[in-house]
Amino acid sequence: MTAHLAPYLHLTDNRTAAAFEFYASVFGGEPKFMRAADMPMGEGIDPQAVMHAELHTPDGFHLYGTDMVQEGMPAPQAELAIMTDDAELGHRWYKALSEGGELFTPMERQEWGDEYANFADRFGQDWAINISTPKN
Amino acid sequence: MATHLAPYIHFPRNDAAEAFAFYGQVFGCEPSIQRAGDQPMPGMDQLDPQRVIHAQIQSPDGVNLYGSDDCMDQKITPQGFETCIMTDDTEMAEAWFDALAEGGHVDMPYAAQPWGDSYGQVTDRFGIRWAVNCAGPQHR
Repeated sequence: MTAHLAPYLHLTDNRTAAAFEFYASVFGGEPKFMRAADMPMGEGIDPQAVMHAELHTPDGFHLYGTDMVQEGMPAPQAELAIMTDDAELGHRWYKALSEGGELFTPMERQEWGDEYANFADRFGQDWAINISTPKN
Repeated sequence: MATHLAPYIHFPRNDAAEAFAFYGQVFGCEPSIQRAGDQPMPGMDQLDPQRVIHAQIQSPDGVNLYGSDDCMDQKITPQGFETCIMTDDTEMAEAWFDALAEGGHVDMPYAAQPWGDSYGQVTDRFGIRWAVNCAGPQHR
């Protein structure tokens, strides 16, 4: 059996397609979009609206999202954490994801011995990247 | 290389320890809970030593989740997302859904859906929204 747990983001203002294209440009992988026009329950909804988006990356990340939000629902208040031991990849993702966004904690060595950064990307999505240091 | 992506949930009511104990039971693994007092760090010495600064579960089935208490006192309710489980194991999906719903609220009962899978949504007793999707036969 296979199972995985992943965040499912509800993005306001129909930004899901743009956000998933961006995440695919950062992490690789081909985003898949199911639009309202493709689905039987999409009646009465903007046919271009993304009902379901998913991205599976070569490094094993899974991200899901949709343009479907409830009235008055704010932007997602969830932090997406990337835990890695690959410093080169961690730095590359940090640079690409934070471009045009807002830095809260720049990538630096932290008290717990790892490199870590915390920021919002250009879509307002919060991320944390922790690059673990090999413990001898 | 070991890399993964997972939601990191900040619990505004500072009940991350209870939440991760619960998630450990649901998913059958031992949660790891680090409190401020366990590992004194500069800048965190103002924190109640009982505050959870990092919690995680890594289940044998591949369910990874991280979280902490509201150490920055942001009081932001986690919202606008679901913690989503995608599986092809019917028995596990139903067991997880029922366990998560205990003491919580079923937002959408777990049932067969037009897209060919079984799916349900639940808000657990800690206010976290979950979605469980089990692939139907044609999606396996």
